Amino acid sequence: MPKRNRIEIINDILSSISSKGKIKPTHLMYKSNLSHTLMKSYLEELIEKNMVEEKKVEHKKHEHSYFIITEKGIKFMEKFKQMKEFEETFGL
Amino acid sequence: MDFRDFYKMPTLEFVPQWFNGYSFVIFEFFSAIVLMLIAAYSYKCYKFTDNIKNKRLATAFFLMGLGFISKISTNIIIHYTFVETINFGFFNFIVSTVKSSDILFTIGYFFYRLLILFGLYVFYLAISDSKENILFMTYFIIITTIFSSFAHYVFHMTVLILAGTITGLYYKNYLKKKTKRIMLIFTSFLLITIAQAFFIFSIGKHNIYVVSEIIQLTGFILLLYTFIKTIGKNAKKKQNRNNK
Repeated sequence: MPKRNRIEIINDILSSISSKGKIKPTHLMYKSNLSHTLMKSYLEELIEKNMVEEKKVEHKKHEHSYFIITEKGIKFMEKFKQMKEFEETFGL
Repeated sequence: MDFRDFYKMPTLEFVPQWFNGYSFVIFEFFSAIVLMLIAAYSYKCYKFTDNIKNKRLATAFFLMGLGFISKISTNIIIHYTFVETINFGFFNFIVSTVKSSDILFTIGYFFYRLLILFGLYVFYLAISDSKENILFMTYFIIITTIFSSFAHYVFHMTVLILAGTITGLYYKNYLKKKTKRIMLIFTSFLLITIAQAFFIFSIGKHNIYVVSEIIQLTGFILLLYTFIKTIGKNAKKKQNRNNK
């Protein structure tokens, strides 16, 4: 598998969240194939840029956190897909 | 003095009179617009994805677009007033004549050839992953450009080889991925390559020149159609999502 660049990792994280609707941090870590430290730093950036939202839910006296994708995150994924299609068409 | 007195259309030897002038400018202008649009989008992709190949493609299409703009400038002739004194016995006559300079024509064609050849070479580098000797190719392109000023067909022969190589790469890409859009890109570059073969034999044959220009324009129309189809497909999806 070729090494992913920053923008491809961000797209993979957003796609993982989008496909599930809402996702737990552990699941997201496995789905996007990242280490805990790396995923944490990417998520912090995505939350800061309003592409991802963190929701906290209380369940059996425990607090669980989930991540959901925002409108801005969906727009990012669409832009990424459009640009990938352009690259594929022009053989880049 | 009327503005049109300063800017007049020159006559090209191998271009038929009815095709020279505005129709010629429209063809070149359209090609320049298509190339610049793709260059701008490719640069936007580079800023977003950081893929160096996008930057190369943007540079290549920008250079070729500038090349077509240079060709448009060959349609402008600078008229200037030349004043001279003629001695006729006891009388001195001051005569003022309007002369024309073809400097823009010469410079325009030189840069058109140079920019198109450089653009095609950078385009080839962008899609082929080739690491050829850039210095040697630069020397080759400059020599070809200078030599083309004396033998016009040399330029079209070089473009034919470069565009033909690019078309070959797109054909291989089509065989690998078999998508409609790659087939359209391949066809548009095939048309542009075929047009060069016609251009080689167009000197002195006006009808062949017009056919070459029309084939090349068809190639650019197809290139624009494919570009719009590629970026428009997602825009349509986005609109549908917003309407829901």
